[in-house]
Amino acid sequence: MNISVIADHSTVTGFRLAGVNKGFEAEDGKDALPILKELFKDKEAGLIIITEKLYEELDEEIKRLTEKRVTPMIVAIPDSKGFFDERIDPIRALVKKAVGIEIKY
Amino acid sequence: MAEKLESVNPTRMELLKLKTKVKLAEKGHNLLKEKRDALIMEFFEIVEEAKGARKNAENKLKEAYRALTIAQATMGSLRVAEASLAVKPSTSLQIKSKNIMGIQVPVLDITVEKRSLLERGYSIRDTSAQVDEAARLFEEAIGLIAVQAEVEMTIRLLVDEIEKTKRRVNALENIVLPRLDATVKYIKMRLDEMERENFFKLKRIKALMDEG
Repeated sequence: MNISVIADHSTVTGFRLAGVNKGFEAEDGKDALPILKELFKDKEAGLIIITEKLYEELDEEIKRLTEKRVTPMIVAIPDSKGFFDERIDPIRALVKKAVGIEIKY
Repeated sequence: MAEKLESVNPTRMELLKLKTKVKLAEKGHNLLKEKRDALIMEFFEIVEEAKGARKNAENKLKEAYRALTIAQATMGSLRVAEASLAVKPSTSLQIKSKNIMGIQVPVLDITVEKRSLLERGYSIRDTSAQVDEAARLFEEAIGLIAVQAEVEMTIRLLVDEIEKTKRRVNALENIVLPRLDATVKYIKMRLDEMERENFFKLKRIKALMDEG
């Protein structure tokens, strides 16, 4: 299985340096969506690293794509332009779903 | 009061059958409740882990981006991009699965070769040392990102299972069990009623016979 990265130019460059050969440059969700769909058809895709910015833009699509399947796994990382201060925390929503109440941790 | 089950005959046989059903349902209910509680406990443990994994990955990435930016500043981003295209692929990924309380959870087995700068594939004559630094940090970051991905996926799967279990517990508690109880009660009342009727019938016959 392989690792792919969908991110802006600089981030992709960084991951290429580390030897990730499947780097896709995408500036916004419109660019990234076809790539993402293609990756989800690929049986060899194991892990998709995507920037949080793109992840947020494509939230709905990603939810639909990842439903009922384990691979490829998708993980959001902050991009090279910096870190959001108030970031989407995917875990918090899940905690609420599991326990029924919102818990600050 | 819950509805009783449709089309049951108020017979003793049926009552016995129902009683075993109730017992079974209660047993299942208890088991599922225990499962739910255990899953939630597991869940909180893993949430703790997830927080750590996320932090680790982010910190390492921060360093890596910094190194990359410095490399881009000293060499020009075009040249860095050029060098990056020359890097030989090194990462391989294997996904196995492990079992947490009946849920198949993926385990990422990622190997990022720790390579020396000569093995990476770009020419060291055209690149500065910052590129090596950035490459090294990104290699390390990938491993941490994989851990993060694994933990987050585990959480997702756990949540799905918790929801499923919760729904089952609630269904048993609020629908199946009350319905069975109501049916048991109904049959018992019918049987009692029949017995009284019979008793009265016998009395009446006896009275008639005594008269005649």
